[in-house]
Amino acid sequence: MKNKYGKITLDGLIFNNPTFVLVLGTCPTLAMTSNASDAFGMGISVLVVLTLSNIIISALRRIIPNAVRIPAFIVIIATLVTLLKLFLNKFIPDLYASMGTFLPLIVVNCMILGRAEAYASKNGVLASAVDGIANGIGFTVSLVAMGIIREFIGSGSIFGLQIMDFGISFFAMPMGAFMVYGICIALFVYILESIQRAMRIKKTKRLHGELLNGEELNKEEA
Amino acid sequence: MISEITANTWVTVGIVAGIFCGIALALTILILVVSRICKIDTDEKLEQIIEKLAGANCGGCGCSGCSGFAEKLCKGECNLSDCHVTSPESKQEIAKILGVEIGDEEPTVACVKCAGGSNAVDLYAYSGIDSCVYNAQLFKGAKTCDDGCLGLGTCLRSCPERAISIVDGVSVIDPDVCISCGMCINACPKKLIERIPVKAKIYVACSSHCKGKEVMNACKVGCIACGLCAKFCPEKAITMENNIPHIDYTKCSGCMTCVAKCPRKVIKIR
Repeated sequence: MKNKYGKITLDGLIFNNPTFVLVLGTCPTLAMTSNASDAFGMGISVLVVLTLSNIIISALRRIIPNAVRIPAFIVIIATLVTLLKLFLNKFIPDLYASMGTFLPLIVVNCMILGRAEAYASKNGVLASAVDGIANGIGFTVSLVAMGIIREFIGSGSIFGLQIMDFGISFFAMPMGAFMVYGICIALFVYILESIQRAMRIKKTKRLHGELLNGEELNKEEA
Repeated sequence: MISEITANTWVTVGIVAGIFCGIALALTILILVVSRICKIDTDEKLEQIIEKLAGANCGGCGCSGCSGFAEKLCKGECNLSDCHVTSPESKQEIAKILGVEIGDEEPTVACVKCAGGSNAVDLYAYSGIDSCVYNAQLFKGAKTCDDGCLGLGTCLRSCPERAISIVDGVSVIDPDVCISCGMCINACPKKLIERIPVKAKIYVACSSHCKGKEVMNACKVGCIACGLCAKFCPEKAITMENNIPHIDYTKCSGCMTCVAKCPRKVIKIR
């Protein structure tokens, strides 16, 4: 049972990372990563909405008729985003102002509807919650990584802290976002594939080793 | 194959719709409750001010539209005088809402202080990007005169009201359409556009700070800084500053003496 949740977590974080592997939710990825703190705010907002929507949809999965599944999901997600919007406006107005129109756009974030449709509508509440948190963290980490890269190259600072006195404003603009995104995907996939290859080789060797050991045992028996 | 619609189908539809509406209703109530809890005390002044502002959303004040300007006004980060579009009467009302005093401001319009265009001698033939900003970076523009309108229409594209047209190689602003937002003033790389009072009868259609001979070589209609206008003005409203006449519109009576005296017809009737 533990293994199941471990697999969900690893899938959401790395092997099916929503940003770099599935390329979902591209709009906030490109628009909200011009600095690391905005990227973090966006990531956490999506994490909250994704986790809650997964929990609610999973809890209601036997009640919601299959025919009106998608409108029902959208209504639930839209409600959560509205609540988040009210909450941010009241308690973190700075973040609310910097997110602008991208906060309501979380409603149509394909990652959230994607997880609801692909996972939460078929699995239990606890598993769906873990799935939501894992995917949310995967999304947040990817966004913050891109935010740090773009903020550092674009203005020489990280999380608003001035480190170096230089800046290529190209990277703070949309074209820079596309470029950084592409390079990040390439790097991520490269590292992922080399890890998987290493794991495959290790597995093969282990199997091979067991086989040899078995043969040795057979010999001893004989 | 389409299955027959029976009473049973209608019952199913009713159940589905009922469940869906039930979920929606529950969520709506949830939102209403939370919005009551997370209510923000919005400034009553803000909405009143937004109503009174011109609503041109031109961006001439440097804020993001009129609502952004109203917000900054409330915080005291902006001055009412930064907006040139709102009528003086509305401004007085806004000042009353804000509890501040403002002096009587005269409405203004933007005016291009150059009549060169095809009258001005070209320095070279420019065939680059269609923008004064780029042209101005190349030997200070394609005109021999350093303070001449390049006529590539950067101001025209910046104008939210489309009040500007290019006539004979020079930008011309239609004073009836101009809202005096100041976008063209910021856009012009040569700084040739200025605000003048709406009531002004005359304006100086040249910005050259050069001496007479250089202007003679560069432009047929440039000011040669002879100073006749300043000399003959009965109201002493004109002074020569840096080889160009400067009109004090508070003193000008509109007698047109300067217009008659100017040998180059630089001072023009509006």
